[in-house]
Amino acid sequence: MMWRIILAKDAREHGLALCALTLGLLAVFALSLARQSASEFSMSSFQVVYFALLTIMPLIALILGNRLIVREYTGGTRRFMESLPIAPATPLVVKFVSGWLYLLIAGAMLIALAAWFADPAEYYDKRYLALLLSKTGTVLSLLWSIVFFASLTGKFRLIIYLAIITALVYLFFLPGFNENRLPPVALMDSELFALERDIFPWRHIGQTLLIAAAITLAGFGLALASDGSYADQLGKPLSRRNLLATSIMVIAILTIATSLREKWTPEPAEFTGRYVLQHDDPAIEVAYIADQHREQAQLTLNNLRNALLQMREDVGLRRLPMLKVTLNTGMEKRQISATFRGSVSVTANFADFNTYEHSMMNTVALHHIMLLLTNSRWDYESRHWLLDGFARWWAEGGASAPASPNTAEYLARAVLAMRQSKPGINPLLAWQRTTEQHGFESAFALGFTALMYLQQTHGAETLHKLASSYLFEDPPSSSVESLKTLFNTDTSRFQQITSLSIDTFTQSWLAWLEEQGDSPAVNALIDAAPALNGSVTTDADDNGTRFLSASYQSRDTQTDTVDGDCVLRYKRTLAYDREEDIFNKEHDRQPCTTTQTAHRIASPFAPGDRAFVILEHEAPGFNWPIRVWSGRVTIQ
Amino acid sequence: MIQFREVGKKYGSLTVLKSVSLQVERGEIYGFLGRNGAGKSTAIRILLGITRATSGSAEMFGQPVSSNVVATRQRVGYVAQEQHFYPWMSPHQLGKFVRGMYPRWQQQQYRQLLDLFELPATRRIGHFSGGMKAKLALSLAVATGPECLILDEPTAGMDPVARREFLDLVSRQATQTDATVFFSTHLIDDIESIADRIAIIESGKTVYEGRMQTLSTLIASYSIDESQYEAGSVPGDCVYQGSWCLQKGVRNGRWFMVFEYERVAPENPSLNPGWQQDSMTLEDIFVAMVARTK
Repeated sequence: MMWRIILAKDAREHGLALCALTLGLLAVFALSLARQSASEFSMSSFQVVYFALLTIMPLIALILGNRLIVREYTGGTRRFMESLPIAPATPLVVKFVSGWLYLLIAGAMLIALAAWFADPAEYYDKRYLALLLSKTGTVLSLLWSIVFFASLTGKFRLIIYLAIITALVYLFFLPGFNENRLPPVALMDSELFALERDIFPWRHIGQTLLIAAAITLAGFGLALASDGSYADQLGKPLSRRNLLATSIMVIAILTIATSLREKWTPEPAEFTGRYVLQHDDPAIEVAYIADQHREQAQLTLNNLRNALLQMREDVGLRRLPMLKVTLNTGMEKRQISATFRGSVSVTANFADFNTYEHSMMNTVALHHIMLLLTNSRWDYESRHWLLDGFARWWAEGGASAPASPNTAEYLARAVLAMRQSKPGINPLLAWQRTTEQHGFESAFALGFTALMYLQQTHGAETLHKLASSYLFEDPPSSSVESLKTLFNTDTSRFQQITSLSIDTFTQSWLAWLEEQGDSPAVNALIDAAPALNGSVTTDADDNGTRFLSASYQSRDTQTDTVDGDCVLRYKRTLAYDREEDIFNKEHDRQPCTTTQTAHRIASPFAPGDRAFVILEHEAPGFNWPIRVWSGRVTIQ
Repeated sequence: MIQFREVGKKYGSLTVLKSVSLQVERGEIYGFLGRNGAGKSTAIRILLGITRATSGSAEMFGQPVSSNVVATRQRVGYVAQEQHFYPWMSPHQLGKFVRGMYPRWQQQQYRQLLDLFELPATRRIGHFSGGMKAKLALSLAVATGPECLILDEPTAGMDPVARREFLDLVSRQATQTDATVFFSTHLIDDIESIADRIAIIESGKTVYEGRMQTLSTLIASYSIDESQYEAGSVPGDCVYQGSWCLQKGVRNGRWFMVFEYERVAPENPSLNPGWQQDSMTLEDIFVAMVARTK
C-alpha cells in the first residue's frame, strides 16, 4: 500500500519529465533509424539498438538516476520521507524498481521501433526478438544498477563514473585480456549483438545479471547502512577541501592510468626460426615455409624495405611500426589479409607472386602502416582515396622511382572503371561505392593515377605535403578544436594544399585519364577487355531449387566474342548493406559469352536471403580480373 | 508514553549520545533542553526509529521503538528542525500524499490549520518562508491525529509572532486532545511557558530530569564584587549543606558561584560579608546545569 503512495508521488514528480524524455528518446532513435535506412550502406535496424545502448541509454539512465535518487538525497527530501510511517527501504525499492522498469520498457520500445523500421528482407521472428530483448534487458539492468549505486554516492558519483570509464578503457588496452569473452562486454559484441539470431548467451546473461544484482545490493547496503548516515553524508555538497582532494585524486588516477597505458602498449612478438628474414631499420620480418620460398621472401623483404624507406624519406617519418609478413600457401593469391595493433601483420600466399602481385601486397602493407600511424583517422571515406593512392604510390617507389611496368595496367584499370562509373558522382569522395563497384585493385589504381596526375601538375612536393597533413595530423585536444575540425573538411584541406577544388581536380584528372587511354600500352590493354555490362537474376525450377543466373552484355555493339574467362562469385550477406568483398568464396568460372546466359548455378539460398554477387572478367593482359558488376541480390 | 533508559548512540568512533534517560507520561508537555550539538536530534531520531540506539533501550507507547516502527510513527506527529518538504508540492498536495499513511488523518483539521496559519493551500511549498514551512509541518503533524507530538526545535528561525502562534497551538492541541508533547529546544522561553517537566541533556548525557519549579529550588547563585573576592573564599556556610558548585567566574565585574543543592537551596542563607544571593532565570539555571559537565 505504502509503495503505491510513493509510486504515485514519484509519478507526479517525474512523470512529465520522463514522458518528455521518452518522446525525445524515441524521436532520436526513429531519426537514427530513418537516416541509416536511407544511407547508401545501411546496416541492420537492430544494430541501431546496439548503438542506442552504448550512447543514448546511458544518458537516459543518468538523467533517471539524477531525478529519482540524487535529487532526493542532495535536496534533503529523503529526511522528510524517513520520518513518515514507511519502512526505511520502501522508497528506495520503489525508486529502484520504477527506474529499472522504465529502462526496460524504453529498451523494449526501441526494439519494437527497430522491428517496425526493419527492411522487409531482414527476417526476424519471436525467438530473435526474445533474444534481443533478453540481451537489451540484461545490459540495461546492469546499467541501472551502476547508476543506482553511483547516485547513492552523492557527490562522488562523477568520480565513480569516471573510474568505471577509465577502468573499461584500460581493460580494452590490456594486452592478453580478451574483454569480448567476459560479461557484460561479451553481450555487447558489436557483431553478435544484432546478428546472432539463435543462440541465447545464457551464461553471459546470468553472469551480467549477477554483477548487476551485486552492485544493486551494494547500493542498498550503502543507503541503509548505519541507518542511512553514509548516504546522508555523501548527499551533502562537496566542500572546497573535499573538492581539492577529489581533484588531486582524479589527476593522480589519470596520471597513473596514462603511465600504465604506455607500459601496456603491446610489443610486437618476434618471429624466430630458420625460415625468417629480418631487417632492422625499418623493422621488417618475413616468415616463409620452406627453402623453396626463400627467394620470394627475400624479394618481399627488399620491396617492402625500399617502399618504407622511400615513404620515410618523402615525409620525414622518424619511426615506423614493425611490419611482419607471413607466407600462407593455403590462401588464394588475390587474398592479402592484414591486421594492425602495435605492429602490422600481413598474410599472403606470395610463393609465386609476380611483380604486380608483389606491388599489391606492398600496397596493402603500406595501407595498414598508414592506418596504424594515423590511429585509423585516415580511414574516413572523404580521405580514403588518398590513403589508397599513397599506399599504391609508395608501393611503386614514390616520385623518384623509375617507370613501373605495372603503370600501364593501373591506367587501363582506372580508364575502364571510370567508363563504367555513374556520371554525377565524384568517384574520389564516394570512395566506398567506388571500391565496391570496381574492386579494391581498381580502387588502388584510381587513387594511384589521381596522385600521378597531381604530381605531374603540382610536383612531388605537393604530394608529400598532402600525405604529411594526414600522417602528422594531431587529434583535436579540446572540444573547441573538435568543432573547428568540422569546418576543416578534407575537401577544404585538399584545396588549401593544391589550390584546386576537389571537383575541379577530379574533372581535369578524368580528362587526363581518358588521354592516357590513347597511349599504345594502355590502349592495348583496354582493347583486350571489351566493355561489358553484367546482370544477375534469380529464379527457381519446379523442384523449388533456387538458381543464380548471370549474363554479360557488350556495351560495344560490334563485339560479340570475348576472350578470357568470366567468374561469378557470391556469398550470403545480411539484410543490410556494409562493405563487402569476396576472395576464395563460392565461384563459377565460365568462358565469357555475351550471347547467352554465362552462369546458372543452383544456389544454397532460400527465398528472402540476400547474396553479395560480383561478376569478373579475367581479361588477357591483365594480372588480375576486371570487375564487371557487383551488387546485392535478394533471392526470389 | 516515552521511556529512555541509558540510551547511547555511536557513529563509528564518534559518540553522540552517552547515556540519556528520561520518562514522559501520557498528556504531558515535556521540554527536552540542550545546547546545539548536545544530541537532542539524535535522541529524537532514535525515538522515531529512524536510527537505532547502540546501547540502552528506547520505548514508545510501552513498546520498544524498533519493534514496529511503521505503527509507532502512525501514532506520532513529528515536526523536524528543518523542513524538507517537496518544493514542487503545495500544502494541498502534501496532505493528499501523506494522508494515506496515517489511519487517523483529519483532513478537516488540516484545512482549518492551514487557514489558521494563513498558509495558501495551492501555492508551491518551495516559495514558502522558513516560518511558513514550520507552521505547515505542525499543521501536518497535528492533522495526523497523533497520540504524541514530537517537536524538534520547531521555532528556530521563527519571528516572535509566528513563534507565539506556534506555541499557542501546541499548548491548545495538548489540552484539547490529551496528546503528549515532546518538545526539544535550546530556547528556554519556549519551554518555560508551556512545559510541565523538562530534561536537560549535555554532551550526550541527561543532566537533569524533573519539574522546572523543582529545578529552580535546587539552584542558587551567589556573587561578590570582584575587588573584594579572595581566592578560595565561599559565600557562606550554606554551601556546605549538601551542595556542589556548578559554575564560577566573573560576570559584569562580580565574581559569582552557582551551587546545586541535594535537596533545596536555603531561602535566606547567612552569607559572608560582601556576598549576596542573585535571582536566577531558567536560562541562568540551564547555563549552570550545562556548565556542570565541563
